[in-house]
Amino acid sequence: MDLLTSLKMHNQPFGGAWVEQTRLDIGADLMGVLAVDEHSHDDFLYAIKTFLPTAKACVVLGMEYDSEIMNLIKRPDKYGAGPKTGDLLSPHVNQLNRVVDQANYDLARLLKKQGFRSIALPSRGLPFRPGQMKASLSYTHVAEAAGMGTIGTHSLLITPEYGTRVRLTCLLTEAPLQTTNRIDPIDDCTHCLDCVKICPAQAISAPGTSERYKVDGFRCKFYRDRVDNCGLCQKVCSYATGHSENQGGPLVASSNFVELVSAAHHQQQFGEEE
Amino acid sequence: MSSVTEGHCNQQYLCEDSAHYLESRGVIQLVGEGAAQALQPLVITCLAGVSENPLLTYILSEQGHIFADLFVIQDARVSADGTLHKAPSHDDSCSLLLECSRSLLEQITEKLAPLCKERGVLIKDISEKWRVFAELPDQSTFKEVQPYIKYPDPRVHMGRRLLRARDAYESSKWSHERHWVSHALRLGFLPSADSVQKKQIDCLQANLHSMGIIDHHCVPHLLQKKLLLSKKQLSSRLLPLRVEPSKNVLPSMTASHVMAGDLKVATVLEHYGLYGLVLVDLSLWRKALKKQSRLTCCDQPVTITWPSWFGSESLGRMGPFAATSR
Ligand code: SF4
Ligand code: SF4
Repeated sequence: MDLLTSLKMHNQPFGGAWVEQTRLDIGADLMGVLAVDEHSHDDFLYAIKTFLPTAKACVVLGMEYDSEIMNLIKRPDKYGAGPKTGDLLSPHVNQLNRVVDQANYDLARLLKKQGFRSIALPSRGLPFRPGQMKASLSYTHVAEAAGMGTIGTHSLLITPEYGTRVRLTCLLTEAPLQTTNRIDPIDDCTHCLDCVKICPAQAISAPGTSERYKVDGFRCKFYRDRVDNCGLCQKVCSYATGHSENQGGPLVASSNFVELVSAAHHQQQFGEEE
Repeated sequence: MSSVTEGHCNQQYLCEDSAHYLESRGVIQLVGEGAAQALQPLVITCLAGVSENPLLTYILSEQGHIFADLFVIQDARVSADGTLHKAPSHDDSCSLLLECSRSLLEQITEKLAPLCKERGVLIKDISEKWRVFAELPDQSTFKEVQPYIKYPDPRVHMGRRLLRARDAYESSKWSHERHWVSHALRLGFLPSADSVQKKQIDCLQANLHSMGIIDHHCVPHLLQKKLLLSKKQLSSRLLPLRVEPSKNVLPSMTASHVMAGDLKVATVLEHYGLYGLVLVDLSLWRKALKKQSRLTCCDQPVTITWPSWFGSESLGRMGPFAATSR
């Protein structure tokens, strides 16, 4: 089946059979698409203009963090006499970067073979805009616009599938892909402010009326570079864990699958709501 | 020069406090043994435990539409004249405080009058003696010696409310009510019933069933029947709106429509800052999402979501297949 024919089929996640099949083929855990045109948000247009002016879509790929590793992260003062198990996070991020970058590269090759120029952006992130503490393109914002989840108080993406424990990367392509969106999206940030309470660098604050989130990226980076690799805000985010670091108790990252299964069962029983 | 020893009116309170001062709220006092029984027929929540736990409840119109929201508080430190003392009052009066919207004080009093008369309960508007405050979950306000009444707002992550005598010390740091309103809107809660009062919105559309404050035996027969109907049959719901502006200036969106192309999918009931509450036509909204139409309000890109506290009623939790565009 050629790309343009398959794009017309919608009966799949994120807007098309092609998206789901491709996601499986390249081995990504999540995939979403944001079609870009002149009406798109300025922030997206800036990146398109910078990296691939002929691009018609941004694709976001996501890979789940290993919950067993996330669960080992603690505040530095909580390790006591035990080993600093949180140090496993950094190599794990490298692993994830490698896997998600490979998937992104495979996707870029696949699209190029079909005649669409594409550029696989690195999962480590992009250079800042001149004079600003702002990346040339925020993968999180593209992912949200592609219906993959919601941005939480910690400024990270919270997905229904894996909560906030997802590593993202992005691809720009000339392929005329359709935007993928979720019917009945949920704001998965419960606004519990657990991330604000846990942040050892006080980098996250409760947002004001004109902000979605208030994160001091510099404080976070300084803390992670100089003190501890951290990741606590990602660990405690209540959607993924159904639990709070502040309250203690085990972390069960797979609990959302139970919900997914029962939801799928519900759908089978009642069909789609109109 | 005035002396600082003459009384507290000559003193200044130097600890600055950042509680949110809710100027739009007032207080009614019901004095008499049967105060709770007099109020009960008007509200949708059972008042039996109010002496231990202050509660949030709603008054509905005869047609079952939302009329007013009330916090009902019983505190033994409040005397019959509506004054808060440091210790429980010994005047043997049994009184309830109703914290409600100032703009509805008269109408609530009117509704209460016959019920209170039957039971010999006095109704007093004591708003001039009190100030109503809210503190957010991450705040801890009024660490002072002057007495106040603090009670939880039972809605998830909505923090606490406080009643404090109007003549107690003031702080220049009190936050404007609007900031608190914006917090409520962000979470998908009605800050107060004022914005829906004339809109004929019933308690299911406003998601009160998801907050667990409807006691079925307290609501009229007609509404009981409605509550038994599946929530899936509701065609419109009150949901939070988020504005995604690309500029720093926003038009006020209250009473505007959310459009998907030419299709009106929702009406904005209240809006402040980046957040608002909209009455959404669910099937039109879903249709727009399936067609991948952009949602706009006053030409600004907007997003409508289900809040997580009743996300179980949406289709979005259904995993990837819920994203299907059939
Ligand atoms: S990674 Fe750590 S320091 Fe950075 S925002 Fe999260 S909790 Fe704070
Ligand atoms: S920890 Fe709570 S407030 Fe922070 S992003 Fe997660 S859900 Fe939102």
